[in-house]
Amino acid sequence: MSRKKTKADPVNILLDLIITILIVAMIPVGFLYYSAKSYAEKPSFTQDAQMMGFLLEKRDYAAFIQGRYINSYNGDTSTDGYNALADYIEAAFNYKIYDAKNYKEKADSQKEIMNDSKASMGSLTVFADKIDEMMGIEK
Amino acid sequence: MKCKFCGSNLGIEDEFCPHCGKPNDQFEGNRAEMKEYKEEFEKTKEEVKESSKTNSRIGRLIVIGVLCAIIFVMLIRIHDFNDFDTRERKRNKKIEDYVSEHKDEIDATLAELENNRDYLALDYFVLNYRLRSNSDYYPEYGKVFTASIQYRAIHDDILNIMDGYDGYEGKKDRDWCDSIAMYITDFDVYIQPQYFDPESSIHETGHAAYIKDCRMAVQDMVQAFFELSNDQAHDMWEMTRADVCDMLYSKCVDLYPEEE
Repeated sequence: MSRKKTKADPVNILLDLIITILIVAMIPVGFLYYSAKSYAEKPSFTQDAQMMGFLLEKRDYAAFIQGRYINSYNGDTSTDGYNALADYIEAAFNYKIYDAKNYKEKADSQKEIMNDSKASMGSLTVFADKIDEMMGIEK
Repeated sequence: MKCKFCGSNLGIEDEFCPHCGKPNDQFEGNRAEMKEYKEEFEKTKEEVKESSKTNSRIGRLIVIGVLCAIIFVMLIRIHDFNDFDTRERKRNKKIEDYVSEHKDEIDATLAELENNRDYLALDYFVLNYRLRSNSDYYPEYGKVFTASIQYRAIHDDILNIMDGYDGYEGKKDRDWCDSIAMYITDFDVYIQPQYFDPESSIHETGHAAYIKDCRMAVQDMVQAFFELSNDQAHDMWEMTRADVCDMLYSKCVDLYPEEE
């Protein structure tokens, strides 16, 4: 038995078209929503690995160290290699002071931090060498 | 229905009996009734069709309404998320609630950082938990926080000189030296008067020792990185900002020549 094909309602066609457009529009809006939401919920001053790399490349070591501290206060361990390098820079900075002032015990303690940090920074050791050179620290 | 002549079965639309050929006298009545039924059926069918059409339109309009509402709400929320003031207000509220709920833990960490003379870590801890803006909680720490900021700012400026970083504003070593000089001269302006005041309650809390050590740490840091003599390092606190800047920059030129 052949069924008579009913003619589609033009109003429904128009409404279906609007629904399709709205669904398509929801994709970029949804993307914007979630990216804006995740940015807004991110604690202030934390830095992801990409940003830490950028700071390192710009030689903005002060912000690099700040990123390390703020990340650790917020339990962010995604930048661990960079954190080790930041610890190294800070310890090298302190070492330079204590060495110049002849505070031997304090200098040794900073040297120990430098060695520990160097052991856990992986391929970033090349930057540790640059820091030594910058601070005038002999190996 | 049966033929009244031969008793055979008749269809409802049979005008004549298919067996005996005699007329079906109920045919006219049946036909009128059938027509009526048919008309009613068609009417009902049209009604059902119309109602179904209306319902499907309403259904679609509801879907459109819901989608528009979702998009509208998401756009409003995106605006809120992207608005700096709204975002910061929410972040601050969140941090404030956290600090309020974990006050004992935060107090303990703060005390530990203070005892360890961990000036940088303390300043970043204060920054992370906005403790300076929570002055209701930490009024006695005001000078400690300020001293730590001064230390961190000078630390950062020295690093900027050493690593040749221009702060995205094309800053030169002289600018960094001037900034260090400002923090050195401000240190006594903002912190010391209360420290030196023997009546100040700050002496009872142990914060005075931290501030004194922080000041000494600043002196050692500047002396070590600018290779100042003991006298120069000691006297820098009494000098004007311009004189400190000149002294540091004169050292800087030889120690950390700027890249061209």
